[in-house]
Amino acid sequence: MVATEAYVALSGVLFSIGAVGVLTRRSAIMIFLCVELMLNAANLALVAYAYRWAGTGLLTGISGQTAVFIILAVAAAEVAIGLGILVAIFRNRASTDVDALSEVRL
Amino acid sequence: MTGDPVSWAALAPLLALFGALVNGMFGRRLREPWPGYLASGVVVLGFVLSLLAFATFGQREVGVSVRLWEFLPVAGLDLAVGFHLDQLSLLMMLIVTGVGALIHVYSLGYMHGDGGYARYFAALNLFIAAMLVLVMADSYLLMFVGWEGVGVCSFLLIGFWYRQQRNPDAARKAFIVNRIGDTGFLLAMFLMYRTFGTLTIADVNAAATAFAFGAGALTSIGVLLMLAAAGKSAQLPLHVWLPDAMAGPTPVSALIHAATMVTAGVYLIARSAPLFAQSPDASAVVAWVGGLTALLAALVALAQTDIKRILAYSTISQLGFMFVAVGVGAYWVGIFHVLTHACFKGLLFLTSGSVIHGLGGEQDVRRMGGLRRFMPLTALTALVGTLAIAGVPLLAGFFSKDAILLHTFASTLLADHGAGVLYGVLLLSATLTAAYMGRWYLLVFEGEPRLSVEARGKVHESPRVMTVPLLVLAAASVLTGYLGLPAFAFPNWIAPWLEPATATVGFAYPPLWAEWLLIGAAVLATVIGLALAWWVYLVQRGVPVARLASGRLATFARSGAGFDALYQQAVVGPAEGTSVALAVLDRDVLDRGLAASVTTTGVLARGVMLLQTGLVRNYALAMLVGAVVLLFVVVLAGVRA
Amino acid sequence: MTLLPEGFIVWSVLAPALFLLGFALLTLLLGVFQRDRGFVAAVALTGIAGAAVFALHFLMEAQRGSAESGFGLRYLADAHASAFTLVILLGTALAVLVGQGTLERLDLDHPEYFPLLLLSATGAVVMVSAGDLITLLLGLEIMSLAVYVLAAWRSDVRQSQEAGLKYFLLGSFASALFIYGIALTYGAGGHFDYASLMAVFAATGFEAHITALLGAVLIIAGLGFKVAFVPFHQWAPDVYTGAPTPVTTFMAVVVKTAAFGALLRVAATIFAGLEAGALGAILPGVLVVLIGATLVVGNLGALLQAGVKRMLAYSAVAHAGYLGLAVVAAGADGMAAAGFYLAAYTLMTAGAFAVLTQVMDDDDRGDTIEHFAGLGRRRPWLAAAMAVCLLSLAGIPPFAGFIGKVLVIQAAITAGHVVLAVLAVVTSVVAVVYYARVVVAMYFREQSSAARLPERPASRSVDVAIGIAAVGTLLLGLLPGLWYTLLEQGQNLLVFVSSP
Repeated sequence: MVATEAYVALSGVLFSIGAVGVLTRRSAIMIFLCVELMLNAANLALVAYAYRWAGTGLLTGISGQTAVFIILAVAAAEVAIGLGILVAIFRNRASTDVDALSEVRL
Repeated sequence: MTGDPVSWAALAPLLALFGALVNGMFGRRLREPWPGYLASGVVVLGFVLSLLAFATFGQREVGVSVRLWEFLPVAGLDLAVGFHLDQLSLLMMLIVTGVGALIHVYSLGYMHGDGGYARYFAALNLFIAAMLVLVMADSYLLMFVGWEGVGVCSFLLIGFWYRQQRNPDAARKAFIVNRIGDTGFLLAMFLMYRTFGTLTIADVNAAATAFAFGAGALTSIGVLLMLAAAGKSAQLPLHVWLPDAMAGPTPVSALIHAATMVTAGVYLIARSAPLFAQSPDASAVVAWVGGLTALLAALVALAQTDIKRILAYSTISQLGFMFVAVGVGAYWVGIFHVLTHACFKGLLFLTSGSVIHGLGGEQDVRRMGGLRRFMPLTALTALVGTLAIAGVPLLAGFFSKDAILLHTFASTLLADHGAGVLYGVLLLSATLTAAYMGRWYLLVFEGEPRLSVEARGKVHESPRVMTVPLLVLAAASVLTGYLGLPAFAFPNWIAPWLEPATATVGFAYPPLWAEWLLIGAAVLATVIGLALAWWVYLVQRGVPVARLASGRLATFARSGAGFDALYQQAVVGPAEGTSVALAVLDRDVLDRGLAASVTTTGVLARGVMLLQTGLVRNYALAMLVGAVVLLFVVVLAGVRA
Repeated sequence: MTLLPEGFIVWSVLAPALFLLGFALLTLLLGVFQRDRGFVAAVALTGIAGAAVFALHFLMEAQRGSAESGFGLRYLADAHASAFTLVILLGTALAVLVGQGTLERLDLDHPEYFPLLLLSATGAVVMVSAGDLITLLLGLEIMSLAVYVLAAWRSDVRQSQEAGLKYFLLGSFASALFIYGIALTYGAGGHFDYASLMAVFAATGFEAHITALLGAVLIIAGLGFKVAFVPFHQWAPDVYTGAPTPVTTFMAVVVKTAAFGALLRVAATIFAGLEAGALGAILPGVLVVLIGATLVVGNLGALLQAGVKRMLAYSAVAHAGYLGLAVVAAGADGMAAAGFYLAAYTLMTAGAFAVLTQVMDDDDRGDTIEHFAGLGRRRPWLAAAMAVCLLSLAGIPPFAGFIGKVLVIQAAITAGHVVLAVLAVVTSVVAVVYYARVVVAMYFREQSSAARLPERPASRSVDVAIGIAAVGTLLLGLLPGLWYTLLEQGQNLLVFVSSP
């Protein structure tokens, strides 16, 4: 029996890896993948917590698991929109380097 | 509206607002005299209403409240738009609409043919409406609405001739300096709300009376209110905007920057009289700021050459006198001086407008002189105004200034805060006032004409529409003084009239002979000042000061066609250096100080901008760092607890 | 398996959102067949009006003390939700009008503007009605995804591309923080709905304070991104500047209203529950720091801008700070104050942006102060409307912005945050400088020859939007009671039903 805290700790590590990836990657696609990693870290935490709360009442446990599915759907929608924008930009610039996107400032 | 004629006065600001709206929206389609007639008409009507209310007010103890509409039913704030008509606000209404009506009429002539004729009258009407709201408001919040409203109108009118770059700059300077004062007003309101739980003036005053004498909260509120008043009424150190505000048309200078708006600060203090009467510390701040401003501005006025800037510094100085009056607790005296000052300073500005008008735009007193021959009526009224402000006996300024001096001398509220020294400061300022006003009159109207060739050809007396208001104001500059004769020997009407609306503070009046002595001292100060000006500028034609200038300031004298030395060194002896130094202090140190604080803000702002790199990853970093720091703080605080 | 209780699902509370959704689909269909954009815009406005009728109905019900909710307090139609829904609908309607009048000129006459706007508004309505973190998340994503597309909409213009991608990447990053915050909150409390969470957090014997606080901080970060709290604000100036101006109008008003609506509700329930327990002082402290920084940075940033559009973007950040005062005072007072402030903010900001579209050229450029010089002479009505909006934004009476500031500051003082209130007053002095600059240019300066206003037929729909905004700003300033009474009397917020 693995403790809930261990799962949550793992999810925290995943979340941090994702966050650091967002900060260090230059390709928009890689940044986006790192965001996905962060979302899945949240899903892992949710599942772990749902397992724990299932002991106190069926509905509290189920609601956590349901949330995971909703977040998966949200992530999928984000992917669809994000890739759409990316493709539109790639057509114009032939690059997905986010550091090139710094014309609008000051 | 009820059947009570007093409450009809509540219509006055609405009338002015109506005039402003019509002129603002359809003014362009109206041919020339009509916007002016409309604007003047509504103000005259407002004056009639105020007069009616004033006449029927009678011996009531409390004012008449007129609730217009429920404004904001916030729990505990309960704000209605309501006017409070009592002795104090009615008197202010009379000043605003009375002087306002005269200046509207005068403007018919002064603004004749100007491209922005309708725009001018729209703004002037809007000003009257806002000023009336300010003096009639029954809550500090509504008063603030008027307070900001007059600020916006002043801003619009200073920059009225916006084609010259310096005019919009002056307008902006005035607006921004005023906003610093407004911060004080807002903070004072918050503190009031926190302390008393209300913003209704009557309730705040009632609560303040019940408060412990000299409580810290009262002092804080009072000092913040004084900050607001200093901004609006051009007191140290926020006075720098008023001289620049002379860029506006002269009737505007007369109405807004001499007679009415700038006295709003004095009104604010008088309106909050019960609060100040409970706090000697706050009152001392008011009085000392006023006293120092009176002295400094009088000195600087001696060194000015612009016909309107001299008057602007004079206004600042006279406002200082008023603040001393309300600071020492003589609230009726402060308002009395507001009244007399509105008459003679409005008059002086209008005469200078008449001079500028007659000379085709000339404003430098060095290129005037001898104008009495060309503009006899203007000169005569200007002489009345000059003698009145200088404090020559039996004219209005004499009575109000004497009352200020007496009450400063006899103050008990400020007995521990150097009231005696303050009396000395004021007496010196009064001497200087006589001197610089004498100089002003002599340089403009007496002696040999020093006009430029083209001005000499054009010079003429102003039309009837401009001179009639001058005569009316000149008469007022003589007569208003008799409302407040020295109470120890004569009937005094204004003190008992205003007492119920303000607050009663005790004074240790000296014995009868001493009161006569004080009057003698004040008259002596006036005589010395006027005689000095007369001797230096008329008898010696400025030679004494010119000789003084031969050393260090010789270059100055030459470059100024022989007359520059005069204005630079108006006062003989040690005061000369002080005067120049103070002019420098005023221009350089204070102006730069303000500029520096603006620059500091600019540097901070640039620092903010450096972080705005435009790079997505930097923004994400900022977000993450922000979140992580917060998380860290939470964990740390959590572990410690 | 427990069956859902009787009356658990109440479809009627969804009416405003569903009505908008239906009209979004309808305008999408119409966009395919109908060439006349004016007609499509009219249909969109009809949908907005219909939704507004429902929202108004719920608001009246709430005032009568019979506020409704559905799905067991997970979707609310109480005073707060209905009032904010109305503000959102107002902002959307103004954005529709501005878009209809300018998009053709900007060569952006694509049919998807109206459906995307309505979809985004649907999400916004869901956000302010949410009584549950997952519902809130769904609303947030529905709203955001549509706006990401709109921001990147001028796909042939580099600025717009940049704006879209920046907004999208940072937005999804913020969403990730937000979702992780939800997960932690669930871990601490075992529920998603605000009412249960509040009860659990405030109960004696609750242990997992730190987890709950960490979750709350991440939720603040996620919603703080949308409302542009410092340091989560940096996208705002860039995206506002890069996006087409009608879209900026929508983002500035609707997105902000929705995010604040949600944040206020969360603050009044979950945060309030946490504050009732041990370590209660931490969360207000966190908010005070963020809001103070927002006030300073937003106002200082706006001070230096040469472009009016970008100045307005920073001013939007600054106003997030003023609204933040209501968040730290969340509770009936703060929520009503924010409801008033946002209505005023929607009117004056949308008005300013609408005027901007009339000044900028057909390439959506030319927003420097120079372009405003002499506007008072050339287009007196346009300039007057702009002056009203800017003076109101600066917080000068008698305009609505002043009343809004008074209300939020009063709420903050009542809640004991005097320092923040003083900071708000002081920064509002700085604010006057940059708003006044534009007014000075309009009235006190001559038109410069380099920046001529393009000659073009005035667009009636934009004029209508500007008129509504200017008159509304003045009206709310003079008669604030009209709107405020609706907010205040409906204090029976549903989520307080189970408050301890």
